[in-house]
Amino acid sequence: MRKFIPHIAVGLMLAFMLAFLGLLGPATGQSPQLPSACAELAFSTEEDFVTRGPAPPDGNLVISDGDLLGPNCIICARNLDLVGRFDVRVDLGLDAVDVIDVGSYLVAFSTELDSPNSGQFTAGDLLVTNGTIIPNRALLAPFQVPYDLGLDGLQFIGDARSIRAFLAEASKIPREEWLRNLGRLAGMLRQYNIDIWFSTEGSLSIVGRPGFLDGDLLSARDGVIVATNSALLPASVPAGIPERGVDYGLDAIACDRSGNRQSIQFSTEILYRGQPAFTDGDLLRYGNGVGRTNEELVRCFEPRAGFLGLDAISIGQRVERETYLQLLLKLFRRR
Amino acid sequence: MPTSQQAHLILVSRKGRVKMKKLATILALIAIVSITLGVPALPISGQGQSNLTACSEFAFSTEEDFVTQGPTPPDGNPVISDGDLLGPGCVVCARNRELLYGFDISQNIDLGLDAVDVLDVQRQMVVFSTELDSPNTGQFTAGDLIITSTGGRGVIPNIALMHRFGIRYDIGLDGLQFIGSIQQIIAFVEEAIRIPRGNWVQNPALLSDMLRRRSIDIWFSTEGTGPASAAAPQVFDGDLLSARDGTIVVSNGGLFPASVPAGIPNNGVDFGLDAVATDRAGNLQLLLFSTEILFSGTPGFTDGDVLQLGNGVVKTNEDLVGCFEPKARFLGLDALSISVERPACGAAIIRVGGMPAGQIGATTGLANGLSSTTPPFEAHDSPFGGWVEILGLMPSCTECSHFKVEYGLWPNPTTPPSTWLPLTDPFQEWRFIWPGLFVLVNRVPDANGWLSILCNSTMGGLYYPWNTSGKNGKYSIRLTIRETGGTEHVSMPVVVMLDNTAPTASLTLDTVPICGDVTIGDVVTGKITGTDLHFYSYRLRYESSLASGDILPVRKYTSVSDTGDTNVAFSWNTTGLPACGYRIILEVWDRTIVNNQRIWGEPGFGWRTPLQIYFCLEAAQ
Repeated sequence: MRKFIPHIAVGLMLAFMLAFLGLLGPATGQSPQLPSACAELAFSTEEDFVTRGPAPPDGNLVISDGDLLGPNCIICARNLDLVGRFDVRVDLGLDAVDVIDVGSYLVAFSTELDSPNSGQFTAGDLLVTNGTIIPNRALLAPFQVPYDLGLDGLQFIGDARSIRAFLAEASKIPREEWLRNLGRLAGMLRQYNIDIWFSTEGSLSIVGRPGFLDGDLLSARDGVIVATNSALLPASVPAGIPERGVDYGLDAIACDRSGNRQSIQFSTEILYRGQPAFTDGDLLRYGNGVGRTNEELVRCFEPRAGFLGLDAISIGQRVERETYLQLLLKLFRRR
Repeated sequence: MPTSQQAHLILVSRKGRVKMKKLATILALIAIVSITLGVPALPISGQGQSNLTACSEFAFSTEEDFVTQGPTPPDGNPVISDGDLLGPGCVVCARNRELLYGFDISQNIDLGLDAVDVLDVQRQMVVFSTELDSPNTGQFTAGDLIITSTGGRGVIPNIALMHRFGIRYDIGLDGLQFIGSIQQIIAFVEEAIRIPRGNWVQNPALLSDMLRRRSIDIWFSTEGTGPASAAAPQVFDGDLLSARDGTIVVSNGGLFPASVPAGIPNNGVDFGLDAVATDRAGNLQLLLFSTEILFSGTPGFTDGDVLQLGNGVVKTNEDLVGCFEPKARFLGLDALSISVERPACGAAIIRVGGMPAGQIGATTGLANGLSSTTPPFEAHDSPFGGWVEILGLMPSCTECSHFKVEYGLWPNPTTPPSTWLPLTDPFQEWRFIWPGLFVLVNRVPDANGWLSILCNSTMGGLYYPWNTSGKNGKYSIRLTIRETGGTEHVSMPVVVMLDNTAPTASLTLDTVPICGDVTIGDVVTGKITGTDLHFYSYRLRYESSLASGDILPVRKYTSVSDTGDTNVAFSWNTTGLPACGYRIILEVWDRTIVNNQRIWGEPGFGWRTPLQIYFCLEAAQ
């Protein structure tokens, strides 16, 4: 028996690591964690569709535009898994997302629709699966916007541990409290030395005051435009108002936690037919055109149409599965 | 929240307290005038009522903001918001703040425009939804149906629309179309604006009851997918719904040709339903709409195109917004309102040069597709030339008396004409007199181009043959119909590209003299040129009574920017050909529809320039 103990230990360790790597299948609503691959990439589509590729673990072939999807067409979370944390039992869509920590199922997001529970949250509020609700007006307070402008793209900036600590504290603050003290959010972001970059559904245009477009990337901490719509897109694209002529919107946004602008990837609200051409479902690089087409993102679902739009995106550090596996196998061989 | 009328009376009251005696008479007069003229639903600022009239038949909004490089809006602001209501010819019918006027919302705030139905411009009655919730807590959400009119403003909450589907939460409002008698719809709206939003919320069944009572309906689409339930069908955001009956009027799959994989779960994809419009009778064959996502299959479409039920694209996004001359040709389509009901004297040009007006590019003026002539021909990015028949939709002969056709030259390729000239040339037109008499009548417009309406014309509508000889370039034409009472109705302009210039052709031989002799076995070499602004094809052949053939393969145009070739070398080996009199003939064609027809069969088309060289091919001595 004793000689089997090391093998059992290694086997258990292997099972644990495989589970950690998401090889045992995606999480369901009851899962305590997201598949690890969702730390790498997570997104949502613009519209519902039927997968003809990998069958989801729950057996339902209909993929909602509110579901969180991952690499190789896994389902990171059904919409009900995300909003269920708020005692919501209907699909509300998924408009913005940032997967903070797959291990603790910590996901920040916004919905397409207001909560059916009256006054609980709007489609412009920032929600986190730990129960946090940060009202849209708190995000916009540094811009002195006294109403809800929607939340279309989302990216937390800063040290991961600080972000988790901030969210832990934020989860204890009721929505009404954020509204009572609109400056509190920016203060806490400064205190934790983090930021929330985001985009809105509507533009702000006030005579005599600097406004912003729904295609600009904004800072909730500093109340500034982090990247204008014109900076996000190559110079050949007529992006930005009034100088170049068109607001392309900013429908999804992701970058590394250090806030390196060169790492920004995003999608727009409308397509462009000039050079470089792109659709509103393509994943674009900062100032550099298409990084990944919509079809590349969704192809493995084998949908009946090659375009499904892109509504939310989260991109993290690549999990080096091969490295983990090599380490495991090395360990196993030693035994 | 005070209405503007109440606000006005408050103003009267406050002023009166300050200088009651002195101002009383003046303020009372102002109050009387205000009440007499009616409380403005949209602010009358030079762009209120008059511009909303421009949207009586067609209105839309874009997905994103942009700067117009074309017509400058009356308020001088070239930035067009995705919340503004736009009309034909790139008119700004109402700014977003004008739609929201009276809701006590700051003029700086733009809430977007997600769905619209322009019900009655005289009453300035517009129903719509916004992209964002009202900044006034509890006033309305982005899913509510908002009403503005001279009679007041109202809000029908989303849950009232969804009540018959058993959905008790706000699921958004993306497309909107009132169905039924316009009188009953107006009466319903006037009743609805008197009902506070809270009453609808407390009694959401009230809406369907009121709709049934007036035999009208509200067709709409949502932003989100509804939950599956046993009590009602599951709704997708691509389905067209009935608020009265709680049924799906047309599922997403039913909107598209069979080749589009629309509909869940059977076909695989929900394409959404972002904008919708049809006639008030609810004729599904006339249903026009736009989607949330594009489709790159066949028939391809973008989420900014206007599609017809089961029939693909009827108007591209570029056709809609091209006259704004935006820096990008795609701006999306978020809301659409089309009055399919035609006024008795409503003016529309339906055919130009034998081509249905819908087959002519709204910005290029070039025709494509099959003609409506007998026999039909197919146009390929074709301009027009020669006599160009203009046909207008026949109006009511009892209510309308005269019509005229006007044209305007585009000063540059991107600027529509600002001045219009009437067509005044006389012509002849066949008239039918019952029971079997055809009479050719002389038609002589007056100096302003006015012609009486000929009710028993055999031409198929209001007919005018335009002699375009000598004209080249981009023109717009428009039709005006005058009511017997004098009111004039102007059609949407149709852009037509004119080309009355024959192609350029040259044919030179390197060694053979004109009318010289060629010996069998010689290789004849030379160069040709065949060009035109609207180049279609050229062909170089040798011909004799004993033998004929191509020297160069037929060269056809590849795109609208293809203007042909210059100095193309050729060589013709005469070995084996019989001795005879020969000619080498170069023919160059353009793509012009000349005199309402395709003059030439393949590989020719419109204007032709032929060049030929004759000589004798003789046996060696």
